Amino acid sequence: MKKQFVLKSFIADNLVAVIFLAITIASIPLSGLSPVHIIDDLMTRIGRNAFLVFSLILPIMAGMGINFGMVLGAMAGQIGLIFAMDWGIGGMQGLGFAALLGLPVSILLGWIAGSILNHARGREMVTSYILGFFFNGIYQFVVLYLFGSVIPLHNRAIALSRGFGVRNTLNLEPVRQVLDNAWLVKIAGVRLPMLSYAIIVVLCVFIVWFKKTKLGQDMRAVGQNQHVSNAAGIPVEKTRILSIVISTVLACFGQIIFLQNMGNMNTYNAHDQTGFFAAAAILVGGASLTKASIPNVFAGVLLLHLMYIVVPMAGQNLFGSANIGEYFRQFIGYGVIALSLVIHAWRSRREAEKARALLRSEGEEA
Amino acid sequence: MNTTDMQKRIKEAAADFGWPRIIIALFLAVLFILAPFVKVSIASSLSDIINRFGMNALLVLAMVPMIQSGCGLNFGLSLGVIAGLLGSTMAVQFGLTGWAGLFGAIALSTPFAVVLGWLYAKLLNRVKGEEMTIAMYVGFAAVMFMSIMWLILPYSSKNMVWGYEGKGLRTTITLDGYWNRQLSDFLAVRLSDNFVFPTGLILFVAASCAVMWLFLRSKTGTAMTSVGSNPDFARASGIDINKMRTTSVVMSTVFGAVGILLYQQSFGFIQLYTAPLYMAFPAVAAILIGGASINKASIVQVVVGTILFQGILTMTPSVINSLLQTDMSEVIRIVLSNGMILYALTRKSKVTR
Amino acid sequence: MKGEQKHGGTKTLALRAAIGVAYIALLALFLVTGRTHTVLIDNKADPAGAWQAIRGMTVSVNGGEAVEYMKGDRDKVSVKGQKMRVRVEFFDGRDTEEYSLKIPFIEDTLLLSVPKLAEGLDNPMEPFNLYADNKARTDAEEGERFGQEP
Repeated sequence: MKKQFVLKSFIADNLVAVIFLAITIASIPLSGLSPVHIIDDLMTRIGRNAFLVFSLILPIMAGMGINFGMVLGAMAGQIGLIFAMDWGIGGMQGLGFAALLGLPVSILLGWIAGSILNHARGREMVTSYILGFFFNGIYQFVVLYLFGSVIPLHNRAIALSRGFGVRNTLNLEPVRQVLDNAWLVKIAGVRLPMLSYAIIVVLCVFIVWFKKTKLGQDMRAVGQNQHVSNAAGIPVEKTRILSIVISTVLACFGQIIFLQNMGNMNTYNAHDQTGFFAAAAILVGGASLTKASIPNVFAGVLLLHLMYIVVPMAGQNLFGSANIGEYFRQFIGYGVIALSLVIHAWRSRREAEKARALLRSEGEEA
Repeated sequence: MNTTDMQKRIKEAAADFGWPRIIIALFLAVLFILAPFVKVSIASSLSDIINRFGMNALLVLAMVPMIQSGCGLNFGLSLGVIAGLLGSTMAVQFGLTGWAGLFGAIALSTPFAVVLGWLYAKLLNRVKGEEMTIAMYVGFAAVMFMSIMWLILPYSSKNMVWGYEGKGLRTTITLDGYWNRQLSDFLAVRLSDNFVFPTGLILFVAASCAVMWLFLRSKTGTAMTSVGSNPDFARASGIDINKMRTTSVVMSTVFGAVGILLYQQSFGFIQLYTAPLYMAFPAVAAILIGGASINKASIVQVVVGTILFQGILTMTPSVINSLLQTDMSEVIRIVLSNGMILYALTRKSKVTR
Repeated sequence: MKGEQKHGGTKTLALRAAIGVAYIALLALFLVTGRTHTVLIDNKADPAGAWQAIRGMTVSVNGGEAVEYMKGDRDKVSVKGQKMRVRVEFFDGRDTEEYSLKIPFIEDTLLLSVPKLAEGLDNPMEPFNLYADNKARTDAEEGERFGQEP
């Protein structure tokens, strides 16, 4: 009986990844894409998206669940890019400028978000989701009305024709793919953006180092048990806020990396799906709401984006409609998150019941 | 001494009622006062608000059962909406018009709503705790799944399918000639040039509120409420918590289905594909504006909340846009509705996990 | 711990001031070294006849690709930084020339008339107002702005 139980939890552990893999593998031949094309696209996507997914690790460790509020960091990064493009700053300097400007904004927004989340204990995820929407409204207000009027814009070309407000599409040509092209290695027709990978490696090192610091240990303790941590003298509230602040800052940088690869920024919508993609990726990679590690990020980005490459084409070829492929892709994305959340909730309840049963049996023995 | 007493009492009453609500009510009042100065007709504004109230009230009412039973805010309202969409598209497919169309749609939607609600409840019962986020994503996934379905299901009525290929439903389907404004026009009273009172619609909403009110007072209703406000007591009294939660979820889904049908008959169109994705959020915001919390909601709060919320949505575009010569309504709507939800989520409630 | 805080007071203040200065310095550095200007390289004759277009040349800016310009051609080049080295190879036998120009920081787009440059006339490079051309494009794009968010 013990063996059966282990098997069950193993499947549940990796159920999402397994389903994902199955659908993706089935779709590869149906998509009609060549392996080289797929791998090439995948390598680019990893360089583009992985950084963003990393921003979710710390809040999960600190027990805040999925930080959908990472989109606040994305918005901060976008504001940085608007300023950078206003002055036409190109190359790495442009990215650096945007990141430097976005930094204080993300810290501030992360601090606010973290404080609000501390008032909504037990409901962090839904609250961070709504926070994202709320600050999106503020972002729209700032970018649509304040830029060009209260916030001076130098370059009229990026403003709307009425004189204030930023254009719908911001051309990122000065910084387009500077990270990717800075150190591009081509192997067998596959392009590898080495600098982006290098940055991701640095981030991994930072995270590993951080987890060993006192603050990192505090975060893990808070994530496991707030009461015990509080009793041990850890400033629980402040630690939780810091996890959100770091998450927001990482999201800011991650969004800048993402956008430099895209080359164009949809000023009002670019950040819409940021939280969703990152959450889906980390959950597919095997993370749960209380545990997330670096391998989860890589596995997740790989699986999710592989799926995103092949499934729409497969759907199009199978059903003759590009729309069905698109809808199916979104369905799988949302479904994955829902399934992961359900499995996690189900398992934490089972664990609680197990603990209770154990206590009961111990009590009986005594 | 007397004045400080009064001041204290006013302060307490205000805190009880909630500062955000007071701010919103004042904001609305200000908009109304400004209206004639910016050439916005109060009569047509009132008419708009009443119509929008009727359109949305049932969707907001659908929030009540699940809040009362402790399942939280029903972010999975899209499931009920999907049931309603299935019913209404089938009614159009069968060529039902007028009263037969409206009530046919209701009749066709209900079984779907019950089944979907029941499945949804089974899921929620297994994940007590993270209901709201899961509900959101289950709702999203369902909408995407249905989007695929709308393309494949064998609908054939010429008014509904794309012209070129003859299969796959259009994104919006007009109800003109079917049951457009069926309820709204029933016994409608023309009070002035721009003011038509949609009597039928308001009567239906009132009747639905009455049904909910009676239900909450029934034995099942009170049992449901106790599950939400005091689960230990409920368990001790022998109430089957899961059964009560299931009942509340099914009720919510059914009301959601009828709610979208009311919305459609006012709006004049059936909206498919990704339209239902975010429909839960305005309803959540409305009931929270009305004063509900995460585990307590009343019918009065539904009515007050919907009127305030729709009032803001109606008045802001017309007044502020005339005032500032610019369209800020979208931004204000986003900030207000999400701000309200945030406020409610950060209140300390007696029953927290 | 309290004693430490008192000691660390001036130290942390100095540290924070240093970070602040470094931050602003970095921003300024990025701004000045990264600022790109769009320079339109022009080979058109003066409508009033003050100078003629060059009959064929290649132009390379800051060591970049040498682009061919025939009479009446105009092309654009992105220049990062405030200095511009223009290398012109004439097709009509004149010696290859290299010119050094300074781009005013404030301007986004400029028009460089190579004929004027070659003849040593005043103000070969002038600011170019892109805004007039841009308006039509921006107006056409202002359709959808918002998604479906609540």
